[in-house]
Amino acid sequence: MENKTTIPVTVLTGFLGSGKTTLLNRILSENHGKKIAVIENEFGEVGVDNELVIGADEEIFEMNNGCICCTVRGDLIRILDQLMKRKDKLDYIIVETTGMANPAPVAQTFWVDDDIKETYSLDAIVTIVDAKHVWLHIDDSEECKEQIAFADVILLNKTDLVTAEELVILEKRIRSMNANAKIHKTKNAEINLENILDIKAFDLDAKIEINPSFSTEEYPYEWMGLYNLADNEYQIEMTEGPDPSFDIGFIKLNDASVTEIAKAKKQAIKLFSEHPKEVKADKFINTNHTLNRLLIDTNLQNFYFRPNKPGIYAVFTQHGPDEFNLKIKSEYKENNKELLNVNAHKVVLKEDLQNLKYERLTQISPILFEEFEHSHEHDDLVSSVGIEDENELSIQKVNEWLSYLLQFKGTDIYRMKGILNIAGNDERFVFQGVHMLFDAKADRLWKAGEKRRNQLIFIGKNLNREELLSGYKSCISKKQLNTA
Amino acid sequence: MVNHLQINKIAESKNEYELWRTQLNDYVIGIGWSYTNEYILVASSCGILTCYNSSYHLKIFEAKAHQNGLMCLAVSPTENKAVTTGQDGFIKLWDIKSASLIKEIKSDSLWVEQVVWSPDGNYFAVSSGNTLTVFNNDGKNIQEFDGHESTVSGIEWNSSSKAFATACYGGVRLFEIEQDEPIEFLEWKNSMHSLSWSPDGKFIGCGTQDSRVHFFPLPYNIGSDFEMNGYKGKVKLLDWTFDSIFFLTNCWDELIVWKFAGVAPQGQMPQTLGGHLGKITQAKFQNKSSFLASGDDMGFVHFYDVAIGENLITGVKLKNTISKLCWSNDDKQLAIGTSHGEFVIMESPA
Repeated sequence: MENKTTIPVTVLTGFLGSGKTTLLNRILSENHGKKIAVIENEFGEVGVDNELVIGADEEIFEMNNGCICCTVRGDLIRILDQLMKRKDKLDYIIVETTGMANPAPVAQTFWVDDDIKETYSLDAIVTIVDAKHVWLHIDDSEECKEQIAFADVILLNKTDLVTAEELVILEKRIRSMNANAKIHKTKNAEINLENILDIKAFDLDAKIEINPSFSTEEYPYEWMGLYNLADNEYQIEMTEGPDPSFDIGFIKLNDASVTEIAKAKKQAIKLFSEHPKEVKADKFINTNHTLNRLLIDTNLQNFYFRPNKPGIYAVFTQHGPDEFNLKIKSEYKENNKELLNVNAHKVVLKEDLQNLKYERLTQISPILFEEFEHSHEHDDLVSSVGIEDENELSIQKVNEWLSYLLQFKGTDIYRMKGILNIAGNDERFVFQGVHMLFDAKADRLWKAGEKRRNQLIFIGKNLNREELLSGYKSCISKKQLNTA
Repeated sequence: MVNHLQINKIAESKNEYELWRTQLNDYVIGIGWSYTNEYILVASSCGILTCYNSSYHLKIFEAKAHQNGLMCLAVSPTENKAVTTGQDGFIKLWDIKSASLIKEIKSDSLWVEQVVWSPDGNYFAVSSGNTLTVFNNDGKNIQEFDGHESTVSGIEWNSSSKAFATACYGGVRLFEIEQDEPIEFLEWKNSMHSLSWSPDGKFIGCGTQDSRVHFFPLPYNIGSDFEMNGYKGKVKLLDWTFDSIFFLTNCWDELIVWKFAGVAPQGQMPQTLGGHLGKITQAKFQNKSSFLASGDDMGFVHFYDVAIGENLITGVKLKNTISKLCWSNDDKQLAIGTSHGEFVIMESPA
């Protein structure tokens, strides 16, 4: 039997003029000692300087299994089949797609064809983005969105042609579409090759890295305000808004540092994935890591809260406060008539309180606040949904849920990856898929002291966070729920 | 079914049929016997063409035929001529006896994938990407068609040498000699990766990407298409016996043989030929019998006679994947090449 070591294949995508050819020539000319074959479209960009450039005609066809998203590249199969016959001399293959290509059929070719799987392994999809001109396509071109959404690595190229602010906006936009890709900023496609070649992004045996909360659009809330709260009673006043309810959660911070705020944002993602506790008007809100759902049924109503302990709190809200004219008003401390809230603008004396009730209390402002973009703010509807949680999952239910997802949402889910904590199993369970094609396996043992947690990420179009979360929750092991 | 223990015993025993062996420096991608069986040509994927005298096993010539790899070798059935195609875009017509290049033709594409001689030796058809070109035996271009939807994946001549068929994504085209446009398009929305035309001209079979064999009965307007499925993987190996009675296909580690005998085999069970322990990579009937040789990715070559049932006649073992099998024109010898350059000539055990 011959050695079955596979040859890694990188798929290079990007619009015309983004710098693919520059990058290719850089890869080929670098002194890495590797024999690299390049498969490129016959009508693609010219100027690749390599003896092993092979033309392809991008023959895409559907597999006859009734799934419209199971498409593969017939030409690629034939070319790779030929290249197998000289595999002892080839170290690496790069498949360059045209600017208008959807990377899915190329990726899926490596999943569905037995001969190809035996000899080659898809290493990663690398997408190169022209930082200046991508704005011409990002809103209207499906291909541009797909290239970004499918990528394992994104090179923001030609960064010298844009300002730092423009780059921040672009990165944020790209993150919103693909929360899991590694982003590198480059000029003239200058990049250390170890960042793009042989990175094993599709290898379940390699180290899988998932960051479910990477993207700003990951946040299931739209606003966060940081408040210094006293051991006192506070009023939330609000009017009707776009929804009949309003979710709000409090997280206590040790201080107002950037680290603590980042930690709170992450905790709030989990908080917002929990079942909310409904609160009617004039009732008290729980500030102890509880998601409260305020029921809004009249034009003006109030809710109240009293922090468990005084200190810095991050208040996360489902919608922006302005949409409901939300105001937080402070009570003063009874014994010294002194308002503890440092941001209060007005002191209300005890003797006035009985008469004034809350009407004349003063609105308090946050120390700082941050707005988060809503995941469907852009009309492209391409986004990422990440889930992070520490519950144990039932393997049977995970199978059922993922099967259901692939059957009914396979067209919309471009990529998915996950590390799972399966009940009764000391090994991590890892999976990943491209559309309906899916690989899963038991991975290494959880390490001693390692937090066993589930990390999942879905990238695609029309993703419904609530639906995915609900499906995920249905996989939590019953045994675990009973114990809890 | 064949007893595997028995096969191993045979395979590991001395190959009493072996006549000669040598070691080439690369994957054997093509083998061809000259029409008199005097010469045998071997093509390596690195681009080297080597010619031996088949009686004395002397090297007649060795040439770097193509840069960047050789893709296909076809030897004329009626003259001492051969054609090679390569990854350098060249089609080269060779005179075997004088060890000289008669003509070289540059294609528009970098890869020239296939070349097949007509049975009468008057023409050879070449595919390069979407383009099909026919040359006469002097290398003169007499016919060209570039309207295939994608890369041509198969070419096969009719036994009359007056017509040939091509396969690509979307179906099969039938051509008559010296007419640029196809005379018929047999449409089937699938990716074809192999093509075989029965010698009696009645059926064209194509292996498809979804592990089936699709059949087009001819004349096309009379019969209905039919398919064979249930295969464990893609069916890349297709071959007919000379009398069009048996049709051979590969199914991972087994060979599936359908009996046609002039009619489609619907409702009949095929023969399953076992014995291989690895994936079958080559299978070929003799030119004038129902005796066949098959090779696998573990280096085994097995022999069967489908006319007498499922019996394995014998087996031999080489070190690496069997990459090419080629019977001499008189069926007396078999040339075997492997993925690592082993090249063996053996007597037919038939």
